[in-house]
Amino acid sequence: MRGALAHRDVIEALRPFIVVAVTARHEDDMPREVGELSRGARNRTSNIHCFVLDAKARPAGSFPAFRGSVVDHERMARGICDELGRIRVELPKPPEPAMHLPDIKSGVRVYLSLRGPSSAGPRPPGDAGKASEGNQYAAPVVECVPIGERERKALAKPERARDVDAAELRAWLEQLTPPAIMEGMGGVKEISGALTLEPSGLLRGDVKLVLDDPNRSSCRGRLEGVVTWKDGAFATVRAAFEGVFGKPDRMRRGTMDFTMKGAIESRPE
Amino acid sequence: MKTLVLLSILAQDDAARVLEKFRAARPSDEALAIYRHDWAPTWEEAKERASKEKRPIFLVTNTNISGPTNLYTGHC
Repeated sequence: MRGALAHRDVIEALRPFIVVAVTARHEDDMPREVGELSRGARNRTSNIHCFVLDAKARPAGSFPAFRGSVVDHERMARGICDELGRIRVELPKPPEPAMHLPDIKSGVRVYLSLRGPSSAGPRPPGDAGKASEGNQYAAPVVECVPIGERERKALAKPERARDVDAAELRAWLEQLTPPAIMEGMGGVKEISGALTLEPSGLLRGDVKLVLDDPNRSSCRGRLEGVVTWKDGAFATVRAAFEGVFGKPDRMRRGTMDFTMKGAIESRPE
Repeated sequence: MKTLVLLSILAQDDAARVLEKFRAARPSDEALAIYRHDWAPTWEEAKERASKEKRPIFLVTNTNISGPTNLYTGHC
């Protein structure tokens, strides 16, 4: 779905809109009016539904995100644009395009990009919406996490190089797990690794995350970052993660390796 | 003293190399195209803004038994 939403035609078609996604295990867990809309639209073809509502949040039309069994973002994008053209709702002049990344007052922003085993080389610009194996990873994950006392203490300025248990940065590092696991709860069961923090600010080491799915899928990689301090206290961090996510194939005969690239940046800048 | 200066220079080189890795790992604006939508992080905020700005809402709902998901941030 995110690949279709990243398609340039969908971006253009949705410019007048405020876009919001509401996700939950059950409709009962959604805001009441959204739950009612979702319940009313439920069908057997898709668990993702799109709604167009006017400025007073009155429904003007709806449609399922998926048509057919194959996830083809190009086709999904065409479907969204067709449906948007069919549904009548007053469209004001769209605002100037801008980036609307998830943000946080005091914390870190974590980016994660994955590339499937069949993808050779980086995708060309504007190609994010095209179908390919592993296309659930067509758009990067961007999560924001607060900085807590635990992380501040772990990253306090050392007098000499010292170890930092990767588990101390769990809240940040667990964001470096792939989406669309479809098994388990999509969470991290174990996190391990010894990082070294140097007085120069360099932070580096290997990290392993074991997921909570029955296959104990795991992500392994190397984290390297630069920490800065102000008056001896943690101030900023910028870090890169390069790793591999091993996902058992559907026949469970082997593992498909997905290349992972992560970046962590403290907010505000 | 010379050793300390040398260590400091090496640390600066390492830091520059790590920051370059960070820049390479951070997705480009092109890759982050999904964030060109005018996202509201919550339904309540979407409603409030729609009313104030007199703009329609595009709502995506997702029921997922395997866990809470988030189409906006991407762990879906």
